[in-house]
Amino acid sequence: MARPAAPGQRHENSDPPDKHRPQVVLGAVTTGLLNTSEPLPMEAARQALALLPGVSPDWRRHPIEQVVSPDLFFGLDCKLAVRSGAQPRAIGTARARAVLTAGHVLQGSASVAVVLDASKRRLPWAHYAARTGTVEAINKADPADLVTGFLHARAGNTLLDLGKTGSYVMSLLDRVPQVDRQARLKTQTRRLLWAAQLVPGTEPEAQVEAGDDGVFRVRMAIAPQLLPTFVDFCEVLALHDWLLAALKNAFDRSARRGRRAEDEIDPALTYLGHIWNPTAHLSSQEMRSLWQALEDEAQLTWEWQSTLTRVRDKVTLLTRKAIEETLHKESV
Amino acid sequence: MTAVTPARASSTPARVFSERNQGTTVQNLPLSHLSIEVGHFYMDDLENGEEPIRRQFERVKPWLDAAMATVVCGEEKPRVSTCFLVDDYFQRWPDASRIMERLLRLARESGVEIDYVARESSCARRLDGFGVAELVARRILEEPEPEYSTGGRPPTAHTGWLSNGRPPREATVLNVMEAHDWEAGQEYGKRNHSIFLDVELWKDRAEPGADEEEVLSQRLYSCPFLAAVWQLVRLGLLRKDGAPALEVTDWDGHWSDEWTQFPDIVKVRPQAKPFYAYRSLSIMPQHFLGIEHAVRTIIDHVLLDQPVVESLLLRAQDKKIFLPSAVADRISHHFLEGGQ
Repeated sequence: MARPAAPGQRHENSDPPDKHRPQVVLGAVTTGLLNTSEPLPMEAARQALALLPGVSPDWRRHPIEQVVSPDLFFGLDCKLAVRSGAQPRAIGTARARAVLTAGHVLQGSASVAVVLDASKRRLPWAHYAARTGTVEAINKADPADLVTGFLHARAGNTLLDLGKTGSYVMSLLDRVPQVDRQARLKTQTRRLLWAAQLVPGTEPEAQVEAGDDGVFRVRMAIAPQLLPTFVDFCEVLALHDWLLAALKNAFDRSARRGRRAEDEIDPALTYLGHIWNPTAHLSSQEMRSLWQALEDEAQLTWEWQSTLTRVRDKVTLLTRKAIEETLHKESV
Repeated sequence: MTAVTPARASSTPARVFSERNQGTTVQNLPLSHLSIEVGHFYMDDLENGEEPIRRQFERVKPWLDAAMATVVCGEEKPRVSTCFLVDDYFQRWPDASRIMERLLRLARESGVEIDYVARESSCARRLDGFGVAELVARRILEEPEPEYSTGGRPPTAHTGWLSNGRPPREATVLNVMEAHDWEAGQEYGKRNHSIFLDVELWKDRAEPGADEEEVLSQRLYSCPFLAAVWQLVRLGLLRKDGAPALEVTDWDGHWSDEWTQFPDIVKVRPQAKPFYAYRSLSIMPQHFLGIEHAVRTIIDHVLLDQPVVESLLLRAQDKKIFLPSAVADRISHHFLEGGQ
């Protein structure tokens, strides 16, 4: 009668373990301002980030409102960059989500787990569809080489480009009715690249590099179970790198000839001034420690505070000047 | 550059505050081991006298018994439920109650007990108006083109067509001396030779420029597309807000004359085992083979919600039931011979 397994199948309760587990995970976080005149209130944000019917986004209110869309998947069949030897071909799907912080800062966060030397040819698609967020590489590669290759590759039309994936997810938010497409603050989109080597049982070890191209690059050796918190860490770092750049740019523009300083500074202070809080959503102790270690050397929070102080000083000076001018006019 | 090794986690103090509101919590469903679809008819077959209906059920019966013997159930007692999908989407007559009573009687007389009856229209749009088919449509991922899919390609099918490869095409003839100006179609996942398949998922009938709501309300889904929805519903994989996309209603003892007033899935036999199941089997006439090939192609390209997939895998693992990771591998068919 009934049997535990179907004919021809092993008496196991799941598929045979994958020939390999992923050894490397690659990711990119693209950060920019949501194209809206005012930050989205929580309810509108939750509606806007419901990018798939049938599932609702995750969200939290404290200490900063944040909404995280469901995962979307993108088909991949491309080359992975390496420093030496032939570029492996990888087939599967990338995972991407939109993250909206304080109703205003939008991130497209894309990642893919890489299983090396998995097969000799492209398999029927059902195989990859059942392993979402994973690519399998045909032919071998050194995991450390893949990490370096991904972080430092030049763009090519056959190379994995997760930044594009994140940008696409962000562009979906341009089409939702909650977004009025009338941003009041000029900002530039910024990108962070990350790559993790998965090493079971290892102590986390990270290197953060600020490149001369303005891109933060994070490489990490990490135990697989910590990966989700590491992705959070990279999103937090990308967010704060963007905040810092956006505030500094606004300050720089305010000093340019022919501009009214308050037109540049006011929106920056109004919309960005309150958002800085790097450890707000870092839930694991490992990642809080990592942030702390990063602070000790890079001192991003000091930089933010000092930039903010300069901006506010400028506002104070402008105010004083305006008052003096008014008094002068009255006395004349 | 900064290189850091954070402190060990063992000194972690207990956390006082946490907040992460999950948008969607996946429900655990009661599950059978096998859901068997016991035959299928076009609506006009159901109108054309009793004999053909009886004959199909009689031919289903021995395979139904055989299927019972193949149930994969780990260490549990086998749980099997049977179901029947009424083809009311493309055409329907207003004598639903007569058709239903006759159908269930003929099945019973042939030794085939139908536990659940569902309507194909519900696979497009539920009785409450919710667009079930769009849950699947929005999760379809076109197969990436070999070598050039680097991650920026939009994930969904916009054209209403889905293929398992690249269609045949007229090549641009740059050099008149080159003889071949035609390129064969190609199945991306082929083994040596291709079986290229292009499936029509739906036809949009709204005027160009109509808003999305209008487009969806006018959209005519294809038979394979609705059958793919039906398979995913039976496998408990298609959810809305964590609950099954189509839910089961107990039969209240009488059938409405209007198909549009039928619940989405009706539980006909009170003692039936759960509707949703780890695996599905469909027994149907041979001429549906083409449709089921298309169904498989569609299902192979649907990327399901991970929490749902994982909840089922964990349940199966817990009960020591083998469950293939590829969804299409949980689906099987028996095609009754043709010519009858």
